[in-house]
Parts: sequence; structure tokens; C-alpha cells
Amino acid sequence: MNKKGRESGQTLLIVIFAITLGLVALVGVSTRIVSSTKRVFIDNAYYKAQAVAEAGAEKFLQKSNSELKTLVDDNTCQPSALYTPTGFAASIPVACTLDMADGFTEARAVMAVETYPTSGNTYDVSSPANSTISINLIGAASSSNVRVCWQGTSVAGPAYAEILSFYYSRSGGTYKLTQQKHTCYEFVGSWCSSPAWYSASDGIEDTMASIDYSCFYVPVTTGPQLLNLMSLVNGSSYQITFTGNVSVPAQGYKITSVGEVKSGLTGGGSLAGSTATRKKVVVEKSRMPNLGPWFDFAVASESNKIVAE
Amino acid sequence: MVTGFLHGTLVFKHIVFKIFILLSLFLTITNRAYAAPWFTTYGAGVLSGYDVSGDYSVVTIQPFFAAPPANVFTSTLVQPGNVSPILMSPDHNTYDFSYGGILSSGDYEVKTGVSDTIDAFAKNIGGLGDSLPDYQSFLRYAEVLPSSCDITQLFTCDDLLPGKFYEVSSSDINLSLNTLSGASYNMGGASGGLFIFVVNDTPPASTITIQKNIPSNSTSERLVIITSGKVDIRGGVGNVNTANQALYITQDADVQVMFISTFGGDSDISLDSSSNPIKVEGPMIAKGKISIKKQLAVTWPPVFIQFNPFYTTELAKLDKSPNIFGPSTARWSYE
Repeated sequence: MNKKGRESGQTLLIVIFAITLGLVALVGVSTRIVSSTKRVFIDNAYYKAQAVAEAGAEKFLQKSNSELKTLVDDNTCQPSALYTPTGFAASIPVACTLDMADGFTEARAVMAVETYPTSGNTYDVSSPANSTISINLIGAASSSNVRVCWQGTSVAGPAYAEILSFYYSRSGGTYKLTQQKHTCYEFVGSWCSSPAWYSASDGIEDTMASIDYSCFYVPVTTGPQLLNLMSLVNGSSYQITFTGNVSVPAQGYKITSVGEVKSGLTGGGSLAGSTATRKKVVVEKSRMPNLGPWFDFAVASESNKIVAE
Repeated sequence: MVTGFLHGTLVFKHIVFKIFILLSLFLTITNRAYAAPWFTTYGAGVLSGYDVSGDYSVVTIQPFFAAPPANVFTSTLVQPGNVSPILMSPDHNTYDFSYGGILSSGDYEVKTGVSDTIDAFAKNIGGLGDSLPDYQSFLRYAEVLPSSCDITQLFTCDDLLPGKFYEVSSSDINLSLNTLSGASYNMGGASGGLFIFVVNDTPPASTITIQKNIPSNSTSERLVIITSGKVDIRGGVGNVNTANQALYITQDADVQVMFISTFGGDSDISLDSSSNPIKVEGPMIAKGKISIKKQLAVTWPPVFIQFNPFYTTELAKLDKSPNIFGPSTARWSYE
């Protein structure tokens, strides 16, 4: 009996040990499953927040320039009025929100709009090779100058940099285009030298420099309208400065959209007790169409010849 | 010896006479007329994205007119800085290249005149970084014509609005041009601005045929025609009363219309041959080939394309989102 009883006791201990081991394993696996599930939900919330932020930005991108200007002018969707360090302001105008349809009510976006550049008298922009960018000059003071500093950004083509500048102005009913070809100052960059077929007599070699940039001035005449810059062969980056502490005229609209997915809300939410998830998207929309180079020439063919025959 | 001397003198005289004849002939050709198709631009240059090895992107002829008044046309495409009077930039310190210049993805050929190795802009720059929007993108935002507008008299309809894109057929355009019959167009009352028509035919679009001059009634009103078909400017269009070369620079263009053809083939836009010199406004834009066939024995360019900055300035103000001529630059960033 004693021997049988000892064996039963040992079996019981083994069973208890096995059960304990099983329970520990079960708890471990359960915790891991819960943790993974929670992470999946959080990931899902991030994706949802980003998606709703993009949807909010798209909603504002569909607005016309005049609609965006109205929102800016009356400060309806000013960023400082909408966002706080911890989230959104208590009261947000309907015009600045995107509420999702039924079934996704836990997600929303709050959109702000302002003009860019937001401050200062310098504007940085770049363009790829053989492409044109447009600088809005409407509203620029006619007493100021536009200082354009530029530099090639790649050496995919020949080792030189050239740009064309097209300055449009209007005096009363007279419209004028002034165009120039610029080549960068030879000593600015090691790869930036005059091209083989370049003739100094029919172009302008920029002699001013600002660190790594070649610079030239576009004197703003009466009725400034537009400055188109076309980089040739290589891409270019530009620093546009309005001299005399004159602010850069608005180039477009900066749309900030913050998407939020709230949890634990009545009728929605899947993460009871967790904090809201937010993602931010910023879009800069030029106020001018991207006309391309065609409209700066008297006659242009995109992909074929222009032939007197 | 004397006989030899006399013979030598005669030969010398004969040679001098021959040289004189040749020189006279040369001056006759170069200073009065050039019997071959050629064109020039004024106010802006020429752009071609054609880049095929061994072929030319741009072909024209630039006769060298040394004497005034014809010298105002001297090589304006290739040496804008050397024309007279030399235009200066607003600061008066640098050249203004507003006479024009050639910019081409490939090579170009200037058949005669000054050296074509001196270019105003650049050649062999490679493929262009931008693409002309396709026809559908123009059509997408076009509106139906106001019912009050007679489709045979579009170009005098008061109810059209500037800055709008109107959907029409090539037949509407051709009928309305016939009705206009060379008279000035005048749309939208006294509003002025750009009036833009987008041709929407059942593909393929028929050709827009220009048979008469198309003047505007105002410097602040212009017409834009966008088509996926061809544009044919017939030989009879132009000016038979061109007074002289100096006036030719300043006189109004015979065709005050901006054409955009997205046909993308051979002769998207063609200017037929005739006895009339023609002055048309640019930008004149095509996806495909632009063919200039006018050949005249006159002392001014048979085809003179005058760039009018009004079109580009006004198009840049269009309030469309997303924009028809190309998406507004939208830079996305995530935080």
C-alpha cells in the first residue's frame, strides 16, 4: 500500500506539473495572441487615419483657387484655430472637417489651408531636366527685383547647366514677354562650364554667385505676371528671392490634413480604452496650372518636326 | 607681248564682269526675296521635342538681309541678339531674346544665311521633361454651349464666358468661320478674355479648315481652338496688301487664334502655299508635325508667327482644379 500510495502521489505530482506547464503555456500564447491582435488593430487604426487624412486633403484639392482663397482670407480653416498640441480644437468649423460615412464614424479628418510660402522673402523650388516651373508674380511690388539663384542638380546630361527665363508683364492692355538664356558661372561648380556650342554673344553668363548658386536679377516692371524657368539638359534647383524685404507673392495653397481614428466611441471603435490615432498629410498645390514649355514659344511641337518644306 | 597684254586685260575685264553679275544676282536673291518655303517667329522662339538621330527637329531658311528695311528679319531665329534694333532686358544691361530662338531636342537645319552653329537657345537637349496633355484631358472639363448660341455663329455669341472651355464639333467651328467670313470675332459682349473651344467629334476628328483671316475685335480678346484633328490654314489666308517690311512687324496678325492640335501625326498644323504672305499668332502648338509650305518671292517672311503673351498670361490665371493643361504642382508629404 505504501509503495502503491507513493506511486499515486508521484503520478498526481506529474499530472499537476503537466497541468501547470500547460496553463503557463496557454497563458503565454493567449497573451501573445491578444498582443498581436491589439497590434493589428493599432496598425489598422494607423492605416485608417492615413487614409482619412488623404481623403481630407483630396477634398480640399478639388476646390477651386477662389474657394481656397476665401477660406484663407476669412481664416475659417487656419491651422492655429484647428490644431492643439494634443489633438484638435474643441470647436471646428464644418467646412474644415471630413466626416466619414456610416460604418466608419470613428474616423474623421480636419483640414487647414494657408498660402505658401508661409513667410519670408525666399522661395525654394526645383525642376527636372528640360522642364518648366512657374513663379507667380501677381502681387509683387513693382519696385522690387526678383533674384533668381539656380544650380544644376544632376549631371545626367552634358556637364554644364543652362536655363531659360521667361518674364511676363502687363502694362495696361500691352502684354510683354522678356526672355533670356542663362548659363552658370564657370567657377561655381566643378562640373558647371559653358557648353561646347555655347556662344557668349547670344547668352548671359551669370557672374553673380551665392554659395553654390549662380544668380541673376529679374527687374520687376509694371504689372508683373509670371516668371517661367526652364532648365535645359540637367535639372535645376532655384532660390527665388524678392529683394527689399518684399514677401514672395503666394505661390499656392498649403493644405494640412490630419486624419484621426478614435476608439471606444459609441457606435464605433474597436480599441476600447486606447488613445486616438492620428496621421498628418501636407500637400502644396500650386495656384497656377503647369503649362509646360509649349506656351513660352511661338511655335511648338511636342514630339515631331517643325519644317519649312 | 602687247597682244598678250590686251588679251589678259580682256580676260580680266571678263572675270570682273562675271563677278559683278554674280554679285548682283546674289544681292537680288538675298536682299529681295528667297524662293523657298521659310518662316520666322517674332516675340518668342521655336520648340521641337523631335529627337531622331540623323534627322532634323526644325528646318527653315533664314536669308541674310543686309539692308534695311528687310534686315529686321535677319536671322531672328538663330541670332536674336544680333538683330537691329537690339532689344535689351528691363535693366538695360543684358540682351532680351524676345525675337525668338530655336530650342530642339535634336539638331536643326537652317539651310542658308548665317551659321547655324550659333544658336539662340540650344539644340540636342534630349527629350523634353513635360508632355502635352492628351485630348481627353482638355475635353473633360469642357461645357456645353449656351443654348442661346447659334452653332453657325459661335464667334459672335454674347453669351459665351471668357475662361470657360466649350465643347463643339469641327463642323460648328468650320460653319462659324464661314459665317464670320473674315470679319472680326467678338464674343461675350464687352468682357474680353480668352474664349476656348474644344472640338469633340466622333473619332477621328475632322480637320479645322481656315479659309479666311480671323481677326479679333479687341487686343484683350482672343480665341483658342483645341482639337484632336488637324488644322489646315489654306493658302488664300493672309495679307495681300502688305505695305512694307517695317510695317509688317507691327501690323495685326491675319489669324489671331491660338491653335492646339493633339492629332500627333504628320502635319498636325499646316500652312499651305499661296501667293499671300501670312502673319499668324502664337503659341501654335501641336503634338505632331507642323508643316510650313508657303513659298513666296517677297522680301518678308512668307510665314510670320507672332508670339502674343496674352494667351500664356491669361491661361496661367485659369482657375481650374485639377487643371486642364497639366496638374497643378501638388507636393505631398507625410508626418
